[in-house]
Amino acid sequence: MDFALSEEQEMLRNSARDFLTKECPKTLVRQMETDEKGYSPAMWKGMSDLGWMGLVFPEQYGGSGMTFLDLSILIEELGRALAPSPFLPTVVYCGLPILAAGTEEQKKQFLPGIAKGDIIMTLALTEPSATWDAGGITVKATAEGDDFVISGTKLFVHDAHIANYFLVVARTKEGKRKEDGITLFLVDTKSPGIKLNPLKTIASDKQFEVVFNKVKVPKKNILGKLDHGWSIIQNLVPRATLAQCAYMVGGAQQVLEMTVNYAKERVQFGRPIGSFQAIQHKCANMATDVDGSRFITYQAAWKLSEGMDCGLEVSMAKAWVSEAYRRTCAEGHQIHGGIGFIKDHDMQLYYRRAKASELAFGDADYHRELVAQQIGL
Amino acid sequence: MDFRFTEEQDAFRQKVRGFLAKELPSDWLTGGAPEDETDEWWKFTQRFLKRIGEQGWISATWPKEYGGQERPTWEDAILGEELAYWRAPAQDYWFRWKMISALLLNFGNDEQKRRHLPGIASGQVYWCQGFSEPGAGSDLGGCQVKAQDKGDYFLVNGQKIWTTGAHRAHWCFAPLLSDPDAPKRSRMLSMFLVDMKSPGVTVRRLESLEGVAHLCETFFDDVKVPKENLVGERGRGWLAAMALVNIERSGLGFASMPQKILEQLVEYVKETKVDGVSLSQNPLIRRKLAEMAIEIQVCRLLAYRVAWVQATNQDVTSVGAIIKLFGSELMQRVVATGLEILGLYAQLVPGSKGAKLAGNITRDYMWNLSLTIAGGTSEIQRIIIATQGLGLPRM
Ligand SMILES: Cc1cc2nc3c(=O)[nH]c(=O)nc-3n(C[C@H](O)[C@H](O)[C@H](O)COP(=O)(O)OP(=O)(O)OC[C@H]3O[C@@H](n4cnc5c(N)ncnc54)[C@H](O)[C@@H]3O)c2cc1C
Ligand SMILES: Cc1cc2nc3c(=O)[nH]c(=O)nc-3n(C[C@H](O)[C@H](O)[C@H](O)COP(=O)(O)OP(=O)(O)OC[C@H]3O[C@@H](n4cnc5c(N)ncnc54)[C@H](O)[C@@H]3O)c2cc1C
Repeated sequence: MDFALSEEQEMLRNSARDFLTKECPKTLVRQMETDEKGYSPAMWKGMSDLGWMGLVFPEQYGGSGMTFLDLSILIEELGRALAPSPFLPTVVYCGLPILAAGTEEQKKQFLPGIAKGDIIMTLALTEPSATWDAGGITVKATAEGDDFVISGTKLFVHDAHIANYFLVVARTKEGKRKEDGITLFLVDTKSPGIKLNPLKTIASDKQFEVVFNKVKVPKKNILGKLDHGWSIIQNLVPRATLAQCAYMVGGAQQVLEMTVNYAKERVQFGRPIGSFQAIQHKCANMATDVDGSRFITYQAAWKLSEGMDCGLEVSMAKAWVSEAYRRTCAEGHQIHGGIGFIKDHDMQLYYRRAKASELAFGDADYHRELVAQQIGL
Repeated sequence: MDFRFTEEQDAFRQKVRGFLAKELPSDWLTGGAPEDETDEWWKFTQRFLKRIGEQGWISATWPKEYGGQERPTWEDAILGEELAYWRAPAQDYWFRWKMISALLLNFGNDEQKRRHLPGIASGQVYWCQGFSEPGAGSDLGGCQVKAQDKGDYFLVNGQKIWTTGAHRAHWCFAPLLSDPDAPKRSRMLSMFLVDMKSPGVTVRRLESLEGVAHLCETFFDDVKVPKENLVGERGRGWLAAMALVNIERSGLGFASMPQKILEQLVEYVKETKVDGVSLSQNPLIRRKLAEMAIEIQVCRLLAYRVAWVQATNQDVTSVGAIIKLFGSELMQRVVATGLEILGLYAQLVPGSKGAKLAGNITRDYMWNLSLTIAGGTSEIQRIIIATQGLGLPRM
């Protein structure tokens, strides 16, 4: 057993931290909350120059063939910096499914473009029913000649306004099981009939209701097999879920460090507040939560990278990290006192985003039920 | 990163499991284990500890020079994990052997090693840990049992308390006040090996909450401890004691014992029906057991992290405090949840008619209370994490 990063991983982490420290200061994070695009094309370009978008793609598609575990280390740094970018939607939620299930032509069409930073994509999965289960998929796609015609409403679609393509999860047939009859489509966002309605979110990220009104998609844009698309989502979900976990680990680590530093500097009653036991105990709890979050995430990511079964570990990780990150932020706020409550302070940026990450790909309650099923209940 | 055990480590674990399957009666976890501290228990335990010694497991990691096999520390960790999982008897004896052997190997002189290590390796010479005193619990540096330098020997007077197993111990390792005039508190204590048969040593057993009398008070009344029983440098007893509590805190059993309880509870709720519906279908129970599984997973990884830190010779102080804190508190949560699930049956102790899961969890509920106290309280662990791990200023 080995808990250390490899030399290569260490280099990746350091270069990511250097880049983000320089290119993604909190002023940018704040600016992007009200920016129309919500991300900085210059920073996005820098990220692609460093090879991040193609990190896990094979070399023939413009990538560098690294593992999901390596990717998790990078995502941890994105979470630490709260990097506003369509990285997860593009690379993880869409790039990985294309790599896993795309035809050679589709891979050539999309992956090098993603790796270069030229293509932004997003997943249109959830609907107003707000469930992660296959039963929630009601957006319909009907065959018409060489095309399919998509109609219905997707909700909570990230970065829809800047995406070049949607990966749309639609129902093409009523099957016996709710998992049957689902198909994935690569949809050009400029297709006629698509309407975006922006949502206002706690994390000030860019999410949309996307209404499809008889949107035509050529049959060749089906990803995977007709009516058998759900298995692609099942393959994606552990990856997307762990990406969220890694992102949260990075955020939690940063909140811990910020808070400990503050506790060392802030003087009340003639002493640094970090010398009061009430504060020390909170910090110790935070450190335990952060360590636990890191290991439970990386153990699952490692298993996934090694091709082992990891459904149980992924759900354990998401359930734990979702709540541990929330606790860490709350304790961090308490230790910061009034100042952390101010918008100019960085704490609140983490607190609000922690809630968003907690919800993404299933909250703790959702994953606890999956854990229950997998421990024999 | 690699979260796999090597084939060799897996093979070692299988060996330990095979050993335990043979040595522990088949009904060990289902009511067949004798009650702690009864004659039957002690007879069984003595044999069991001796058998562990015969496997070479107590001394496995020691240098060859002192009868060890220089095995990787991971094997010790795996052994600890399995002992806890199967509720092997007298795990505290095994832990104290780890502590005293570390003391001797790191601080002892050659003669002390040659004299004491073979008995420890054999699993037949029992040691007790004489750290705590009535006035010095968390504040170990405040030990007051005096060791006056009388030339050939030290004259020892005073009282220790919570000396677990002192009533059966042949030897005691204890930090004693040898240099009350030293300029710093951390230089006042020295570590001694005290023969429990020495004239003037008296042991009084204390009965604890769960009805077992193995915690002891140990009184020293003009006890002569020969000079050669001073371990390490004089005035450096506090330092040695700190190194030992790190070992005490780094147990892997923190995750594996709850794991077994979880597995038993999962079986129990599947088999138990209320109004014709299996308890396993109850959403509240599903939630509780899932949360338990998740916390155990976190605990297991925190424990493996400590084992890795030890195996790679890094400082274990803060990460050891983290596992001690999380593991001991987890045990209490697991047991509390287990009893909630057992409902009215949660009252029934081992040996009672109708006891579920042999009444073991009810018994755990009683002794587990001590987990967040013994070996350093949770409050002290949090202080260690905050000051030594995170660098927060001391009070
Ligand atoms: C929404 C809001 C409205 C407010 N309105 C007003 C107002 O109208 N008028 C006004 O005058 N003030 C107001 N305040 C200020 C408020 O009273 C202070 O924020 C509060 O007293 C804490 O002080 P602080 O923020 O400086 O934190 P600090 O005193 O710096 O405390 C930081 C952390 O250290 C802990 N700490 C401090 N000392 C100790 C100790 N001895 N032992 C253990 N822990 C300690 C605190 O509990 C906290 O967790 C407001 C604050 C907020 C958030
Ligand atoms: C089952 C069991 C077995 C034991 N076996 C042994 C043994 O074999 N050998 C041995 O030497 N000892 C043994 N001990 C003793 C154990 O190490 C002590 O009980 C422990 O260190 C706490 O000391 P105390 O009981 O004197 O409590 P105290 O130190 O008096 O603590 C009382 C309370 O005050 C808190 N407290 C103390 N100092 C601080 C502080 N600075 N900041 C905040 N809170 C503080 C503690 O956390 C605790 O909650 C055993 C104890 C138990 C329960």
